[in-house]
Amino acid sequence: MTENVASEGGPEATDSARFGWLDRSLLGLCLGSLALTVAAGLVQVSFGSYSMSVAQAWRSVVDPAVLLDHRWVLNFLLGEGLMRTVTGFGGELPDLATPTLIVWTIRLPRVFVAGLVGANLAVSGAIFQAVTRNELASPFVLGVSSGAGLLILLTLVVFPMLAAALPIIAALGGMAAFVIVYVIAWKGGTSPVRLVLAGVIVGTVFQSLQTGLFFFADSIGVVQSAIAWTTGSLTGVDWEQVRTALPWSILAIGLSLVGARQLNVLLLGERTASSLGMNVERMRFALSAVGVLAAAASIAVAGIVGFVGLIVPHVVRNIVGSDYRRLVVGCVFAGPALLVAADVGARLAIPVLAGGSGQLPVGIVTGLVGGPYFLYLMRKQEQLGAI
Amino acid sequence: MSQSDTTPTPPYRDDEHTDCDETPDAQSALAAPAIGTEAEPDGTPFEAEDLVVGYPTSEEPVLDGESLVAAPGEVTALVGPNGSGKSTLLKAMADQLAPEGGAVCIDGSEVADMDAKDLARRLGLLSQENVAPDTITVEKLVEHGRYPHRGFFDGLTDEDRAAVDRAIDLAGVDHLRSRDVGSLSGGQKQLVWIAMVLAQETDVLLLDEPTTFLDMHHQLEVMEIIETLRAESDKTVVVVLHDLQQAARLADRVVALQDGGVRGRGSPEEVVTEELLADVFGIEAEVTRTDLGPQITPLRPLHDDAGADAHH
Repeated sequence: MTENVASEGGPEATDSARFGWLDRSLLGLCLGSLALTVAAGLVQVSFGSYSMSVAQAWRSVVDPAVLLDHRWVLNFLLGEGLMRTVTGFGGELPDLATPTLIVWTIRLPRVFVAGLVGANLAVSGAIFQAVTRNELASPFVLGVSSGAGLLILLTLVVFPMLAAALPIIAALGGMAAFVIVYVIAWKGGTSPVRLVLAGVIVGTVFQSLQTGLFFFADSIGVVQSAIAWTTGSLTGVDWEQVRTALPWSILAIGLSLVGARQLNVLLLGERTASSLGMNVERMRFALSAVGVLAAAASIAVAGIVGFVGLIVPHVVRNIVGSDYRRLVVGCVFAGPALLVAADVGARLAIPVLAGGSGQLPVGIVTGLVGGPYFLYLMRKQEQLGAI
Repeated sequence: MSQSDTTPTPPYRDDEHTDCDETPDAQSALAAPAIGTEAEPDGTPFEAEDLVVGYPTSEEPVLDGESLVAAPGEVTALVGPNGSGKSTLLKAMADQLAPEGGAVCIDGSEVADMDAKDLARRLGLLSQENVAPDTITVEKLVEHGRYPHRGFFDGLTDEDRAAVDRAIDLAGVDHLRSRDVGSLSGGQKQLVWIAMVLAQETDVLLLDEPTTFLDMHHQLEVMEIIETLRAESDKTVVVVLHDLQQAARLADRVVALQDGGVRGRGSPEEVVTEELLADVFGIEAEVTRTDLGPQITPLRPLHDDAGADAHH
C-alpha cells in the first residue's frame, strides 16, 4: 500500500519540486515587467521623424506580412546573407508597406537592443553581487566600465581607423580591465573586499586616462561620439546590433542559469562554500567571466549604461528573494523593462521638455533614476551592502 | 600495515616523516597512539601529524608540530583558552588552512592532496560563524549540504532528499523546514547549520565551537545531537568547545591546548584536573567526579606569580 502511494505521489512530487521555484511573486514580476516592456516599446515605436498615427504604428508592429513570413524574420535576426543560406531563397523579399518598413527596420530594433542590454546588465549585476557578496556591486565595479571606456576613447582619438571594430574593442577593454583587477586583488587568493578595492583603484586610474584623452581629440564630433559611448546610448541602433548581442546574451544568460546553484552556495560565504567542496577561487573567476561576458555584450552595442546592473537585481531580490535561479529569471524580465522604459525617456525628454529634436543618451536617464534609488536604499537600510 | 592495525608498533623517531601510511610517532607519554590504536576496523581513522600551522600575518606558527588522532565512533574535544590554537588546529584538519609542515590524513590519504569535493564527501566542517541570505528556507539551506554529492548539472536525487530528511530529523528542525532562515533565532540557526553539515553525510565531522553564544536550551540541543551521533553512528567527531564543562561531559577524549601546543590529552577524567585548570586555563577550581563526568567549580583566576605558587 505504502509503495503504491509513494509511486503515485512520486512524479507529482518531483514536478512540484522542479517548478516549485516558479511561484506567484516571480510570475507576477515577470508578467508585470513584460507588460511594462511592451507598453514602453509601443510608445517608442509611435514616435519618429516619419509621421504616422499611433494606430498605424501599432498595426505595423503586428503586421502579418513580417510576422508570418519567416524570410523577413530571419532577414532581421540573422542578416540577409545568412537568411539566404539558411532558407535557400534567392529572389527579392516581398515588399512591405512604408510604415511597416520604418517600424520594423528603424524603430523596433532599438526596443530589442534596449531589451537585450537591460537583461544582460541585470544578470551581470546579479552575478557580481553574488561573487563579491555585496549588494552594491555592479557589472562595472570590477573595472569593466573604465576599461571599456578607455579603449573606446583610445580608438576614437588615436586609432580612428579601427572605429568599425568599436564594439569588440570595448568588450575587450572591459575584459582586460577585469583581468587586471583580478591580478591586483590576487594574493594567494582573492577576497570580495580586495576585488572591489582593486576595481576602484583601476577604475580611478583609467578614468583619469580617459579624461586626459579628451584633450587630444581633434573635433567636437569625436568628443560627442566618445561621450555617447561612455554614458551609454541607443541612438541609431539597428538590427546589426541585435545580431551582435543576441548570441552572447543567450550564452551568458544560459550559463548564469546553469550556475545559479553555484551562486547560491557562494552566498553562504567563502568558508562554507569551500568546506562543501567548492573550489571557490576557480568558481568565482568562472562566474565573473560569465558576468563580464554579459556586460561586454551590452557594452558592445550600447556603450556603458550605468546603474541598471545595480538597481534591477536589487529590486528583483526584494520581490522574489535571494535564490539565484529565481533572481536570474526575474532579472531577464525586469532588466528590459527598466531599460526600454528609460530609453523612452531618453528619446522623448528633449522634444517634450525643450521642444527640440535631440536625444539624450539612455545612460543619463538610468543615472537619474538610479541615483535617487541608491539614496533611498541608503536611508532605508541599516546595513547596506551585505546580501 | 593498515591504519586500523591493532598491534602496537615499535616507537621510532623520524622528524621529517609525514607519511600517512604509518602510525604517528610516539613523541612523549602524551602523544597520540594511545587514542587511535583501539579503532574499530570499519571506521575511518582521522589524524593530524606534526602539524605546523601559521597565518601569513604572524611570523610565529600558531601551532607547532602537534599531532592528533581522532578515533571513529568517538567524540574528541579540543579545549583551551582563547588563542590556544584549537580553532586553528581544526581548520588545518579540515584543509581550510595549508599547514607549513606535517600532514592531515583521512583513512590513509592526505587531505591536502584530495579533490575538494572528494574531501567534502568524507569530512564535514561547521565553522564558527556562518552567513546565509535571510530569504533562503531551512530546507533549501540544508539541501546545500548535498553540494559535494552532486555534479554540476545534477538535480537532487531521491538519495539526496533522503539524506536531507535524515539530517533535518536528526537536528530536530523539522518544524522549521519551510521557515526563512532570517526569521530564526540564533540557536535555531545553529541547529539548521548543523543539519546542513549532517546532510553531507561524512565519516568525519568537525565542529568549531558549536555551542558558543547559544542559550542553554540550544546548547543542550546541540550536545544531544552530538550524543546521538556517537550512540548511533560510526562518525569521527572532533569538536572545539569553549566550555570545558561541556567537553568533560560530552567527549570520549579531551585534548587541551595552550599556546599552540598540546598540554594534556586523554579521557575527561585524566585531563580535567585541578592541576591542568591551573596550568592551562589559569584558574583555581574544584573538580569533583560525577556521573556526568568531572564537575568543575571555578573559584578564582590565578595571576601569573600566584599561578606559579599554586603549581609548585
